[in-house]
Amino acid sequence: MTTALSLPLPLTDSIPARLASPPEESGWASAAAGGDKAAFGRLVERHKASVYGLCYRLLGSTEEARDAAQETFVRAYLAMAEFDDAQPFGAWALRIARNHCIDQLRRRRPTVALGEPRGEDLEPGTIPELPDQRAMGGEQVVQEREAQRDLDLAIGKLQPRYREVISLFHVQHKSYAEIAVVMSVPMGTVMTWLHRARKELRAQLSEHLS
Amino acid sequence: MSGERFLGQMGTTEGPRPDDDRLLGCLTETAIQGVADGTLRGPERMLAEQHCAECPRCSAELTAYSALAHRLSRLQDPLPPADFTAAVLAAVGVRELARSERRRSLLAALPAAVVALGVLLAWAFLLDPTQRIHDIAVGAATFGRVVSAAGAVVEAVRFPLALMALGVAAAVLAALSRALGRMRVPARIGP
Repeated sequence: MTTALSLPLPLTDSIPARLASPPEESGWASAAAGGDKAAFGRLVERHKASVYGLCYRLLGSTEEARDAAQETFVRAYLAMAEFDDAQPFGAWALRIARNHCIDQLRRRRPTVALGEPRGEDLEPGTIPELPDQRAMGGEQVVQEREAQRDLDLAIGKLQPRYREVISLFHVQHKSYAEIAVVMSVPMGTVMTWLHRARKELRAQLSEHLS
Repeated sequence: MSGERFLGQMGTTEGPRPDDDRLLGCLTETAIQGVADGTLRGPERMLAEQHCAECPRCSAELTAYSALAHRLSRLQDPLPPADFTAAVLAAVGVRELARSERRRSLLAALPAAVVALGVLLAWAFLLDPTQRIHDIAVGAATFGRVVSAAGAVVEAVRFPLALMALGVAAAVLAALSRALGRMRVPARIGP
């Protein structure tokens, strides 16, 4: 069956022009490859939130995410000589991060689900803060927090690749094409995984979404 | 794409299919998710929305997926620590130091081997070269006689013995090169 969806980007394997590295990043990457740590520091500053966020979604703990993100950038620096600075540094760093996190996940079983109270993050029973709680009444804030916690828990129960597409698409607002580059899969696969991930989430959260 | 063709592809009256992209009577879940997350655009979106307005089942699906998309859009990742970049650069410095130390160790192994060989040869030949050469010749002849006498036994153990000798030599050289490398590397280099 052919799909009737109108896609935001063409389904090609080539990297669209909009995914090319920003000019200043190419300069920083070249300088970093030559040993300029200040230039590398600027790359880290720009991409640390996305790399850290992906590590957090995949590993489920802020402490492990910090270590994994740090390891990602160290590996990136040591491999800068092999990096093609015409490519986006952010996508390359995210690829390193995901490979490292997947290795970490293979080493440990079972995984900790996101949203579960963890010693280093939250006191038992504490619900994560939401950014716009001042705009809501007390009861609504509690309901909202519980719903977000349940969503975090549900995401934590997904397969790593589904967690990853949810994080990249919905949290980091990356396009299908950008996600395809990061995950090294065709865009159609990204769409399929995203579709299945949301379907699983919907099944888990049917009570909240009805 | 015409509206009839669009609905013809998305709609069916045969009921749900067992595959992942099953049809929900009319709109596929993929299409409903596309409407909910905004990736379905243009006339296709308009037709899908029109259909949902008339179909309670698709409308309920769209409501659920829209609520999920809304929840997901409110997700926020925690921010990295304030000193993250400084910690990365410090870790880079440490890792670079370790890497350069390894490289220096490898480079140091070659001169160490040359020095060790030189010392051995000097010890052998400096005092009485003629006697040493004679000793070596005698030793070689004796060794040849022993080897030929041992025959098959020596043939059998020659290869493992050579491997063991190589292993010992490599271990000694590595230890020596590490010691030399440590002597050359400063105690601490900042990031």
